[in-house]
Amino acid sequence: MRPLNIMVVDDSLISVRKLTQMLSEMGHSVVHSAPTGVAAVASYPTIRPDLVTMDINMPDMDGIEATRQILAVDQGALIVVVTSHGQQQMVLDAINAGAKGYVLKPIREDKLKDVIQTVADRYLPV
Amino acid sequence: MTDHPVDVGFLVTRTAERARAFLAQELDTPILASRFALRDVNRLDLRELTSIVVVGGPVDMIVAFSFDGALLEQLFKIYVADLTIENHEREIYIGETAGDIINTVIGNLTADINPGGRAITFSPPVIVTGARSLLRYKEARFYTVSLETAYGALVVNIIGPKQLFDKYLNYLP
Repeated sequence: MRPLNIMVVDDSLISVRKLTQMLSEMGHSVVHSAPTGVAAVASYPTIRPDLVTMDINMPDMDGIEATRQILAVDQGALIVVVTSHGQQQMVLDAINAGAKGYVLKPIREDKLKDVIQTVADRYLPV
Repeated sequence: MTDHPVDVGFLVTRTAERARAFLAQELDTPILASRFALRDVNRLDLRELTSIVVVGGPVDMIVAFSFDGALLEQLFKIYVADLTIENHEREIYIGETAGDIINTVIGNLTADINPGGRAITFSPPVIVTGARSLLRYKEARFYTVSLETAYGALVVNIIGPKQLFDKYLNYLP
């Protein structure tokens, strides 16, 4: 897998730092972080990352709605939900909104790596 | 997992169990003793720092994790051990640690509850600093579990109905 430019969407400063560190160790670059769904939707068109990690619980707009709005702008957007929310219904809501993967917090580096690899293999050109 | 309507006793015990497991497994801080008050109590004593989430949908309660200062310092050190935190960021990240703990515990807890296909929502955490007491009045209900560690207590509080309070646990007029 080639190194990816990734946008991290999360209102937790620690989650942003941890994700940035993990993704960097995997060889990817975090090119932008957004603390709310509204900020993510606003910045996505100019950043155009290869992949977005998306929290669900955020101020202003949750990650499910932000996923829908980003996909309305770019049908090819690759969004992986990274959240503590473990309810089956929320996983279904995220997938129905168009998310390509789901990683449960606390974040395990190996799990995150597997999901990104799977999404990249399936959706990104070699 | 339960299909039954969300029962407060179940909610309190599962929240405490999830918190216990998170501290022990993720933060290397075992719980030495637990003190449950599963019947309504008349007063909550909030510790040095409290993280609060409002849980919506079929749960309709407020959850507040109240930390003794020494315990939160210890949890912070472990939680950010792999990150570089500058001195001027320290206070912010101690609060963030408390916020991440309640967010992760309550988020994971939603997997234990199945209220007939309805999504359980919860707010981003807010942080309140300073010890204070909250007295029960009107129709408020308080339930509490104190999880004791070698560094002090994490007190898990379940408070409802949520409509009586703002997100900082002040009574609404």
